[in-house]
Amino acid sequence: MTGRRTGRALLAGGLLLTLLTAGCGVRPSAVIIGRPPISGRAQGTWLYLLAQGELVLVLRPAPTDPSPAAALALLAAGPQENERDQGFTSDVPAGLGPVTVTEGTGQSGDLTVRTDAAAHVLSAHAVDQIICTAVAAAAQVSAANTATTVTVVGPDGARGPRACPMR
Amino acid sequence: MSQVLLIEDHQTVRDGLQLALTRQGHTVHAVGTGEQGLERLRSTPSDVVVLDLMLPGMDGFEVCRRIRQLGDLPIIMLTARNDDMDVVAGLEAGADDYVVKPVQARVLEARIRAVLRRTGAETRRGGDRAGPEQHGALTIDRAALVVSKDGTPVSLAPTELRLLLELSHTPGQVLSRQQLLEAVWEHGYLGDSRLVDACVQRVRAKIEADSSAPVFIQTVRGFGYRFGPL
Amino acid sequence: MTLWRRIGARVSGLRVRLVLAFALLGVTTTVAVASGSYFQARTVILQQAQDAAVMSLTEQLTKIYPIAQLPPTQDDLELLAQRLSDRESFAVVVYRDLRAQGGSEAADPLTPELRQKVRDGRIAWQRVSLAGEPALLIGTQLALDRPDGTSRPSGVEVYSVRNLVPEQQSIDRLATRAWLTGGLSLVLAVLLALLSARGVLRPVRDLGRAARRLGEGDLTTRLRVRGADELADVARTFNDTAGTLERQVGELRRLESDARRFVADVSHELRTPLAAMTAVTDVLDEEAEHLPGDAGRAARLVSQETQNLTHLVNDLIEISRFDSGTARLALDDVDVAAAVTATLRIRGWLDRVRTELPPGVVARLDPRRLDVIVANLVGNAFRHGAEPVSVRLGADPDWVTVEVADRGPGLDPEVLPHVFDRLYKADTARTRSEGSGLGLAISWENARLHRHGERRGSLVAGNGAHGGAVFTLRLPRDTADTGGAR
Repeated sequence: MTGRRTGRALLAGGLLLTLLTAGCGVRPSAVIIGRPPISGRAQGTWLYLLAQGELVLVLRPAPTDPSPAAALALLAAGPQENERDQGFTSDVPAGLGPVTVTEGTGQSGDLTVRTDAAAHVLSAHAVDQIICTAVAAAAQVSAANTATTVTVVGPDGARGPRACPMR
Repeated sequence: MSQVLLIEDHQTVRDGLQLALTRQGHTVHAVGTGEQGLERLRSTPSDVVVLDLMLPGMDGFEVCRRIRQLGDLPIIMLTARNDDMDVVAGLEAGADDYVVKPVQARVLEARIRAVLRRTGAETRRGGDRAGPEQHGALTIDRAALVVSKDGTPVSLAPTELRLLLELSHTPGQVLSRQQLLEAVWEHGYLGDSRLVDACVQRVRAKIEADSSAPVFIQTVRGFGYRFGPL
Repeated sequence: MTLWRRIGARVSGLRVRLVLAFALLGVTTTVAVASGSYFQARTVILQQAQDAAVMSLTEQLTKIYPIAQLPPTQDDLELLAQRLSDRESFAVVVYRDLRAQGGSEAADPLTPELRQKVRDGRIAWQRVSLAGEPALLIGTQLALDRPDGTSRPSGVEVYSVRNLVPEQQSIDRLATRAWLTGGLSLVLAVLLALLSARGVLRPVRDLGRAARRLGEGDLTTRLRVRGADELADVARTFNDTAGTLERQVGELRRLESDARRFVADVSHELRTPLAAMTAVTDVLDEEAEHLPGDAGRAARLVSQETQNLTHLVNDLIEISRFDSGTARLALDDVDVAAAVTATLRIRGWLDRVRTELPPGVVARLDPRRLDVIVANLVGNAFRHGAEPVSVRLGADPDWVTVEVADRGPGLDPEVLPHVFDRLYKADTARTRSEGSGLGLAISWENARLHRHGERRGSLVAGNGAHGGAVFTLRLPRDTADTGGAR
């Protein structure tokens, strides 16, 4: 019937029109995800502090890349004033040092951190701080060093070996 | 009683009419062609001509015209059809009256008598009036039956004269066609008004200075004709 | 539904339907093409804008490396935000609780979902509406390369807020152009539709007109056959049909006119012998009185029947004159009452008829034909009806009416449609001597011969309220001199 046909035609036209007006201009969109973030060189000493109970990377300006032991010494010295201002803390006790860091043999080249302080009284956060800082410093000094796990050895025994939880 | 010339080509019709009219007391001379009829008229006078329009050789209209040229002899047309064109043409050719064939003898006889009255009896009816009447340039002498215009006599056929006399008898008064038919043609019933119209045209042609702007016989549209006023 | 049906009826005209179809087709195509290219162009424009923005941000951010210190101070963040802001965009830099915004006082434009994705470690962007204007948010963290090729998030998030108004404007321009194109194509489609509708409808209209003319009796109507399409086929068929019809009707007419001419010719041929016979009927009548017995009766019979035969032949000739269209009116200005009275008087009916004839009714008509009609009607009333017979005259400015009524049994409804037929005899037992059987037919033709413009004389038969037949003659009061035209 003509009426129904006309009706259908009108409907189609209306739909088209709606679509057209709806699609006009620049509409807000959902979040679009692109490639990984921009990355660049960091110049300084990588330390891991705590902020609100989680590990946070901190860079300390340094003219040359420090050894893992030097980095751990800086860690044991605790947050600086500006870091403390932003609520950064450290679980690593000041009496950690001095430490020695030795590279293990084998391909993985695991690190061993020897300290005079008791290893078992160190909190889990403190151990993570030590492990992550040591791994970062070791990689900084020698690109060949791809160590991923660290064993903390104190007079009362060893902790680890463990990997840095921060990837 | 009267001399009738019958011109009719059909033998039986001619014989029938001759028989019937003779029994009514007329002297009938019957011929079959127009030429014979005209010849007869030249040698022997007749009182009236009964003329068939459908003739071999010279047709009735032409015969009619020729007779009119000879004089004021009354003519009654016999028309086989009352075909309007024929009637009009015949009246224009100068016929006084017409009858449609087949016609009963007494009808034709009555017409003949009526026509003859216009020439004979009417002469005397107006005769007792004294002196000619003057209507402008027109002089009408009812006693002498002479009509003259500017002193020159006008030749009018009997019917034409009768019509003019009838109209001029009551100047300024309108006469209807039916009245004129009854008075002049003695048609006792609804006659053919074309008889009047044709006759008026012929009279006008003879007495009027300009037929298209008549002064003597004037047309009164819707009613009829009247004489004058001058 | 009824509304649809009504609209349907309105749009079911061929022209409207064609125009609608064309318009719909045009619009649909245009919309499809225009919107397709519009959407594609929009995507391209936005993509380019986004890519350019990301590229420019990347380029600018690459310049701030190497990063020497974390955490940054508020001043560092402010500085960075300032550096990243320009005319078209401004930057927001966030590090944990610190936040710096460059170049704009606007409220925080960042959406939680965007921040989440950035914090998860990807470059992410999102189009949002900022104070009614479209804007592009691009966010990234600053990551730090490790010597082993991996990277670590620094915790510094950089967001660039870029105004998309220029893009919006060019997209709007695109849209406007699309609308314009659509509108133009609609107009074009309608024009094309009207043009093609004319092309299609003209033959259809011609066909309709020709069919109407054919229906009105113009059998010479033909169509011009154009082209070789279906319409041309229809036109050809129409022409063939009309041709056949014309031939057949022509043949019928020829037969009919042959028959009529034959009657007319026979009538004319009869005239001459009748003229001779009629001339002598008076002689027969006179002599019959003196003839003895059978001879006298025979003479009277011959005389009587000669007259009847004459009457019949005259009527036949009169009828054939109507048929051939040669009947002419001899018009005169007639006092109708006087004319009717004369008709009755001549035939001796004046005392037998009740008349109602107001004087002063003057009409322009043919008095001889009026006489024929009235005589016929009154004669009929006497023959077939019963007395008293009445004749009434009426008149208005346009018409004259003469009504002839009797008080007889009236006309049988079966007879009524045929009373004016030629030689129709209602009573089969009726003898022919009572009339030719043509009287009413002649009267009817005589009435119709009188006409003035659209007004045409008529003769109508019917029955009166109190029984009896009533014949009503109606003539235009001023018949024009165009008699003969049928």
